[in-house]
Amino acid sequence: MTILPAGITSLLGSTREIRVNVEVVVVGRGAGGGMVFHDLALAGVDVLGVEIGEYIATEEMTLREEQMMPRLFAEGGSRGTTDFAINIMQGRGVGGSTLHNTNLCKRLPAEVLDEWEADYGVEGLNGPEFQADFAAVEKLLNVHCVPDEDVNPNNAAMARGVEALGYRGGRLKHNRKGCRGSGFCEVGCPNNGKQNVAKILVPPGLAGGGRIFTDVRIDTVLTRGGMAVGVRGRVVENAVGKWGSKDGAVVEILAKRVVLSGSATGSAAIVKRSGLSDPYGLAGTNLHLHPGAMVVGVFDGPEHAPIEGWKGVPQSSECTEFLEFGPRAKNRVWLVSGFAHPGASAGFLPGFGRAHGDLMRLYPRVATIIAMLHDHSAGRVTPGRGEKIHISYGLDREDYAQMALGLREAARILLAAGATRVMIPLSPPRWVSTEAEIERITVSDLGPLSPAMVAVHPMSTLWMGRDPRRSVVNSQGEHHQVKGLFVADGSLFPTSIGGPPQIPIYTLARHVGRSVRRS
Amino acid sequence: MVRLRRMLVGRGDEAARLAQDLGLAASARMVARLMGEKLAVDRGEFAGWQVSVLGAVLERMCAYEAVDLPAVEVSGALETALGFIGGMPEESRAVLGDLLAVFEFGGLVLGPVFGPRARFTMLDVVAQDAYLASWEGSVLAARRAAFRGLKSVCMLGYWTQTSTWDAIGYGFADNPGIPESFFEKRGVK
Repeated sequence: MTILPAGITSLLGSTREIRVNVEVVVVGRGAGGGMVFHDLALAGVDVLGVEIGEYIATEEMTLREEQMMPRLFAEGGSRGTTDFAINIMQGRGVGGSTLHNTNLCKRLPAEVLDEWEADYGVEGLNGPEFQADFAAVEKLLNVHCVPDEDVNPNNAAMARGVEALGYRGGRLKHNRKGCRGSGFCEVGCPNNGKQNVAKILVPPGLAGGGRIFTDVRIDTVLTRGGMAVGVRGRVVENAVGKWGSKDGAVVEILAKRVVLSGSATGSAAIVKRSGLSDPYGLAGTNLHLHPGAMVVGVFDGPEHAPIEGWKGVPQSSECTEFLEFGPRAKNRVWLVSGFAHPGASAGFLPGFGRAHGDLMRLYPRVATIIAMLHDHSAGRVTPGRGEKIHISYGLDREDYAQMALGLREAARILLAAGATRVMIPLSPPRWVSTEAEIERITVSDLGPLSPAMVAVHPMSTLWMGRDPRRSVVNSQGEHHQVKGLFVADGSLFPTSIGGPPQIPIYTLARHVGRSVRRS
Repeated sequence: MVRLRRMLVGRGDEAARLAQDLGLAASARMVARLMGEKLAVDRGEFAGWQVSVLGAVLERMCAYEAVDLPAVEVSGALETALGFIGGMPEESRAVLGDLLAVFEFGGLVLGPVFGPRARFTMLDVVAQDAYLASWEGSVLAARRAAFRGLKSVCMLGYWTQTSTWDAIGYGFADNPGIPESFFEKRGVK
């Protein structure tokens, strides 16, 4: 049984209705909710954070995929688009996605901020003050370039290939301290090495008087006279491996201000379920995902030592040769290293039976690159029952063309790094080992489930803007139609951002938190 | 006709809806009842026969026939897969349950165009593998999606068993990034 830090209360097992009155309720304990909670608590505000997942201590990270995925990921790791074409991996627990992410840190590109200002009228983000906010967040989280000694063979292979081709790219920045390079970032760090919400923001927030309820699913925002007055939800049983998880007691939290930080899917689902005023039908639309496909290079030549990509810091190399920003960007693919542990990897590799087994035996000798789209395609979120969220999303032809570009270039980089052959995750999968074979990968090969894709960055469903006819919240994160309701997560982004969202979310949440206090 | 073809081949979510419109999943559940199989009261639960179908699918998915890999029936993979499914929302479990019904009875509902004229669990292994391969490589995106969903669950169930790790060189013991305290707490190395 976990001993919870003082100030965190699990409502699991509660049978009686729970009613609480606070100044501010923050729904969700991810990067956005964590920052708002931290800043408001330190400012002396009576703030209550609410989280659908559990508090998971470092000692509870078992490193076992089958045990940790149900605890660390929304819908037990099964969330995806309604056509099952894209798996969507989002976090749950005190820390949200910062519990399982690989710690990549980038600011919002200048071109993206320019676009938000020009096309959406977003104010206050395109100047030195916001850059100072970025710097402060980076200092708080110990953001730094991954050092040479932390580059594992999987990432070294990518770096080698990028350099050989003369492509633009380099080393990524991370927020780590105390990391020992176990490689288990995505299954829960056993070293408490992530400078994340649970480690950096929650403890001082609790010390400042903030409180957190866990194991509570918030379903609706309560309103009165066009003003947010609280939230309502149910205690949930986070039964790992147990069937028939049922809803528990009703939880009602009355508050002067409500901050939604449940992610672009969770926050949008709450807004939709609440039936809030939405005269232009915007909430839950405009969903961007950064869908990614994993290209696998086999390094089984006698000159290659085993790669064993599951060990070491997972993602330290990138290629930005084909990544541009702004409305006239010609190429929109971010290439970044990646790896998965055997349970997930096995599901990804093609085939079954003996042929699949032969591929699995290559596992210690593969390096992988993710081709991730800075997508223009837009989807939609609608609430299902309980934690379930229905996500409709499909790539348009231009985005498929960008994905084809990404697949070709990822293959090129891996072959330049010394791979003997490369698997492209089309349906059916295609093996390439020559330039001519790479060139034959075209947009006509792509479609739903071809390639197999995963998305870890949902965003943009409750986006910022000046005009209520073209945005859901204003530049301070406050809902255009419902006063006192704020959003502080990736829903805020008017467009895809083409990179890891955690630093932008932390920083925008700080900006929104200030607005909450001023209001 | 063009729209129907696009629906079947080009747009996964519309194809899935089409299959639902045809009532395939409902038909498969009805056939199950006609054949004397009970359905769980709660659609998010699995009846015994659905667990058997999952077990049969798992056995073929992971039929590696290798001396250094455990047979599925002794590996614990089915229990792990069921545990993983148990952590999903009820709606997702219901979809998986329907999938298993379609797998088992689909051929009986729609005839040889869809699949073999027998329950999946009654087929010999050659026929089972052929049926699985037909789903994996189907022109229908919805069937490929269904195969992928089942495969993910099966593979997670199997390849998270420690008894499979030696064959692929994976493990915790020779990873210097895992702290000693992790092993001490669990009394293992």
